[in-house]
Amino acid sequence: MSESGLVIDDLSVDYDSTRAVSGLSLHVPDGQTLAIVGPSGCGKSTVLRTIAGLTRPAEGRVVVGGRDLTHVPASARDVGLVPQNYALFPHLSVRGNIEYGLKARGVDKVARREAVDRLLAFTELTPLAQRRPSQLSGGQRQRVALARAMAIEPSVLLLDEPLAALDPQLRGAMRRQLLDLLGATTSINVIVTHDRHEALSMADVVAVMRDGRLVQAGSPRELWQAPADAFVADFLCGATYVDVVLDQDAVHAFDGRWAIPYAAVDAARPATGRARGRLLLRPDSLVLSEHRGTGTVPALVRHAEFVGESTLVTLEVAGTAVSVRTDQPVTTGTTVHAGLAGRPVAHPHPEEIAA
Amino acid sequence: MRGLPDTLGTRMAVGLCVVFVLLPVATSVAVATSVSSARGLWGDGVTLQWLVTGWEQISPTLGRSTAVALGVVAANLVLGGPLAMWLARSPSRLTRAVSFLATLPLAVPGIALSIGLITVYPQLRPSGLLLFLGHVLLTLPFTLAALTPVLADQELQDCENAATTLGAAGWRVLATVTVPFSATALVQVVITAFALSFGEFNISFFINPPAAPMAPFALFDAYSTQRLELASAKTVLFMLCLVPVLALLVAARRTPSTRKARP
Repeated sequence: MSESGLVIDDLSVDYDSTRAVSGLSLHVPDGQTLAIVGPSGCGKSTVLRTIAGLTRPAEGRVVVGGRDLTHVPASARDVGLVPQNYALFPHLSVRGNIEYGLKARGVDKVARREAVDRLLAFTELTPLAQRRPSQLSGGQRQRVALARAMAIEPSVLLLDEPLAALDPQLRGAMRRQLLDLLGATTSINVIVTHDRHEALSMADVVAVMRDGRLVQAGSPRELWQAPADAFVADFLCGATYVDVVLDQDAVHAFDGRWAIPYAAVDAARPATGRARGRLLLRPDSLVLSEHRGTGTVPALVRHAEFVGESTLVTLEVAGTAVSVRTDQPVTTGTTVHAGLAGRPVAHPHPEEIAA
Repeated sequence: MRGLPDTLGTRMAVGLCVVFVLLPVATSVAVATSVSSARGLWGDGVTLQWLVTGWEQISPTLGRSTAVALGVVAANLVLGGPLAMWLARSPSRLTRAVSFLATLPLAVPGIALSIGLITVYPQLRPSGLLLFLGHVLLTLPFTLAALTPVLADQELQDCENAATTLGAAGWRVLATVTVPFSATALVQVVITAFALSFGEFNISFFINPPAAPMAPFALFDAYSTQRLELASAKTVLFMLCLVPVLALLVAARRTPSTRKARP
């Protein structure tokens, strides 16, 4: 593994007798953004704190630009941190907050003023320079926290749930603004989030964690197209992996209740006999109809949630839950017939690959 | 409809304050400035002579009490600060036991505490060190109660972590983040420790050598053996010594809170 960029090598972190992170290895090239994504308690914030030097690892290394930081104190790591709640110093003005790291590093007054003025302009905070954090909106506070971390020109910039403290209405605009700001930095950026949209839209590399372990890492597109398992498919894509059997005639799903012709699915016919596979069904992979048709499968509507532009439906087919987005009215408890809307991908089953 | 109860509550608080605090204080001032209170308030005219005489007699005692109170404040900050930090941040199970032990002096009657200290540490009595330690023992629980929750605040710890990652050394984080964040609690500690020590009677009465009495004992002595006007004058002077501390409290409360940033 190359030691340039950020290298997390076989990292394990314990909290008392509990292993919070186990054997995590990741590499982020210079200038790229890593998003660590996973449900609450999966260990993603612990990874962030360990990179920042606020938590000691039980095993493994953290290397940035070839420099092993594992035993370097947090104050000497050259790592900028934007905590989830921004942790602005409430007794200092916006200018004082941004200036803090430069003062701590002994930067002279003139250089400090120039750097802070530049960052205030960059983050569009110049008119608010003398305000206290309590006088700012959530979005403004986020920009102050970002400017404060960027002021020290860190080699790694860490953002813990950067949009979580904002109103949902603000998040879209702030995400775009944050992307612009991060795009202007030369540092390696690490974002921790439980929001898949943030991860997919903001990162060059996405790492999915569960129960302290890395489940899958890759580019957003790679993960979107080929999630490693049902957890990643569900968490990152809102999709469902359905076990299928591929034979010479069709792809058979749901214990043989649904035979899908090869023309309707992106799958390789086995050279001989039968093979096991997994069909990735995304919410837009299926269309629903009240009537049975060619290539449809009956399904029970377990849950229907109208969200404005569409209805999110949870279907149960042969004991398997499948999410579908439809613009048709659907009633919970009724039976509908699901057919393919596009050409979903059938991946080889992991056990087939292992064999 | 919160206005009515609020107004009523405020009026009741002001009324109680007037009846039980301001009225006795005003009476003391009136008696202290009366030539002869036996003929009624300001009977036989108004004078400042009792205050002058009272000052001549009690000023060494007030100076001694002030010095001890300032020392107690310093000890509370030096001992109580780190102890509160340990109680707030340490995962050790000992924190509960120490917290309980530190609070124990509040549950023991002052007389029992004083006699206990004299019995166990008689050699410390003549130097006044036992009095000082007794006051520290009595004020430390208030210091811990004020500082521990603030130092345990996750928001403060997040700010400290942010400062550390920005390159600040431990002492700078303490001076530029922890102390300003805890300023209100620290002012409260200073005021409480000073006022409690300055006005403490039991330990001062039992432990302190009679030749060098503390201010509360001197007041007790004045009311027991001297004219009411002179005792009242000494009381007024005693209360004036607390004015700077109370002014500090008011100033601290008027300063906009620096602790919480609202969304």
